[in-house]
Amino acid sequence: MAMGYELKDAAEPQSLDRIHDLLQRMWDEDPAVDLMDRIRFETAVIEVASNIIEHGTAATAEPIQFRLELENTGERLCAQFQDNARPAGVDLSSAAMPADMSESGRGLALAKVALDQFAYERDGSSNRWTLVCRRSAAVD
Amino acid sequence: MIDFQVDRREDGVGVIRPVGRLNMVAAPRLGTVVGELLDDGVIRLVVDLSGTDFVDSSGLGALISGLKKARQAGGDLRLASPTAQITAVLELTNLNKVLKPVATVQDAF
Repeated sequence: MAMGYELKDAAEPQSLDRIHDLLQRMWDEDPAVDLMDRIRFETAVIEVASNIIEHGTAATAEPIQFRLELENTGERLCAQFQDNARPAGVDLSSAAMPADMSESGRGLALAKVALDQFAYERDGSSNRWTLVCRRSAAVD
Repeated sequence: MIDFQVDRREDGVGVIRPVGRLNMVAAPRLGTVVGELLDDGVIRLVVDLSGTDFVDSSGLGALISGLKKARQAGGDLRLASPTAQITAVLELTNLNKVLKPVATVQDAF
């Protein structure tokens, strides 16, 4: 049975801790999730959240809000962020790892290589980010 | 929350131990700690990652920045005791070539 989790929060650095807490609940409730799958998924979720927090521009006088939904279907780990910032205008197909000695610009490229599916789209007045990590087959 | 434990060893090596998550909140603080050590002439630095639960791209950026500054000062910055998440992130970003971690702090220099 799929297990779902949700967080609505302001896009501020402190929300990263609350996202880690939500992910921890997901791991606690399904200890069978492979460690590498957890790492890939959690790393990508935090990178997208950090991108919204760091680069999002509020569309109104109100601070940016986001909603994060997580789902563990047994076969996949899925996350969806929706935020009310101005259009993020990112092209994930061109998100590439910068030069080794670069001090920035790795966030979305890291999420992309960590995930099996990664999409961004503008939906009305929201940015929508979809993250999917296929779970490794269980080893007996 | 993150805590930075700093040990200035008698052999001149500075050991920085970030305890917690090295993310966009903590990364600038790592830069400050590295800068203070370099200003004091401690140019051989080890970042002991045994207590670092999680590193994101901001944390990687701060480690690269520290590496560059340490080398500019004639020293180096090396990583020790990475957790599984850090090892995975270094591999995913191909930074395991420039930030090649060693197993223990003692192995670093």
